[in-house]
Amino acid sequence: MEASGRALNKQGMRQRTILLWFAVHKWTGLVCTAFLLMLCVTGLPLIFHEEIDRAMAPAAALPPVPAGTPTPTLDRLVAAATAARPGEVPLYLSFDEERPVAYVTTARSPDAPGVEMTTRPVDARTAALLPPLPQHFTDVLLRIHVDMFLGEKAEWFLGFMGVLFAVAIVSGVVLYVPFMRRLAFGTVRLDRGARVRRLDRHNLLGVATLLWAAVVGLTGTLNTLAGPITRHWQAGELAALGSGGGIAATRVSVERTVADALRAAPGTRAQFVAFPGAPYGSRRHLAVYLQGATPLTRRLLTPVFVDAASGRIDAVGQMPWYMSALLLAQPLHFGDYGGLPLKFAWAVLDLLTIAVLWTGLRLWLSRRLSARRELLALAAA
Amino acid sequence: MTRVARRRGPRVLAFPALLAVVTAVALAAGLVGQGAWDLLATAGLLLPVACAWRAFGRRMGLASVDRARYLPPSPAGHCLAQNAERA
Repeated sequence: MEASGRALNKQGMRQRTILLWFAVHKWTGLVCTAFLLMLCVTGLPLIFHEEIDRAMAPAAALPPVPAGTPTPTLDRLVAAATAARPGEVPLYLSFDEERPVAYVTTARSPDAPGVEMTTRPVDARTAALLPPLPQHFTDVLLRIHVDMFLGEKAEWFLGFMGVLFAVAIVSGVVLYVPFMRRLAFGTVRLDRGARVRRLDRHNLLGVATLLWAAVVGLTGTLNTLAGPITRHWQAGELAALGSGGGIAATRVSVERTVADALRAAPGTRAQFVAFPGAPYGSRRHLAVYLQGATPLTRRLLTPVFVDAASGRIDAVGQMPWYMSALLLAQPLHFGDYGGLPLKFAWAVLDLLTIAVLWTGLRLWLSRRLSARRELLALAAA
Repeated sequence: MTRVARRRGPRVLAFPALLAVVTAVALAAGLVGQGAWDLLATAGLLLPVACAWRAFGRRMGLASVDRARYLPPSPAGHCLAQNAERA
């Protein structure tokens, strides 16, 4: 008697546990699904944004360089772009990876918000200004994807949806066990009605794409925190480096500074230079950000801080772990680190995630419908 | 038939866990290098895609993956025998 009672109790416990996990899965899933569907749909073309941008607005061929033209210094490139924006100061100088083009970012002051910055391409062989960067259709998609044009708080809200998504994934794995206990992996029962078929598809697609979805979801959440993380770095380590006094004027040659920095870290190339006071810079230094050659070291930047007044190298440093995590989260979210084949794999996995969300939503809807039908049937009786 | 003997959690999750490990290795491989590493990354990600492809297949059961491997060792024979009887 007592033994069977205990067995019953155990079974009741198990059922209660399953119902609890089911509630967690249902609610976290439902809340994040609406936003995740938007993120998956806008994210799909964004995987191919480079290809789309190039196809829709091909970069104009650079004009031929007259023979005997001396290569301009980086200082001349900065001066040319800054002269075109009176009243503005340079914030960043960055370099195109494929063409001899430099980009100079200017704003009214170094602490201007990102939307007030202007980036102008300059021909690195002649210091001639190139036409301003065109607005791409994918830029609009990106804004919708990042914050729906609603600012940083909306961005964090979407980041929170990524956390809910992770909880839905974990609870989904927990529920997978009792649902699949008696079924071989990959089973889709086609002869048991639409609901069972949908459930089996939801389970199979969900469990197959689980790790990819978790990685892309959580790196997306991390990306939404880029603003606060960068500000924390600025307020801490960067501020300590350039403590005392206001924003220094750049007295040294940018050309010399970059050359010195490259000598300090051989085997790298300069990705960008941050002028004093810019978000990635220090108040007293020119910060030269160097990148390695592999996809990993290409993302993990090495900053070299050069005193803007004396030209002395003050620090060659790794970025703190949280900045490295932020930089590594980007390729793992975008899927842009393994060529076109990887992008296609990313796209297919994105579509499969949409299928998981969709089957989940349909499962919830059909359950509600059947409950309502039962209710109406009862009411009619 | 696709019904198998009742399995415990670790066994139910064995194949999903393998898929997760392959996915993780693929995601990391792409970051390590280019060329062969990128191919490894894409190939690794195609495995979960191939499994998911089954979800839209018309046939039931495991056609492409060796089924016997995912059945528990001792009850499996029993279950397969049962299935054979039923068939």
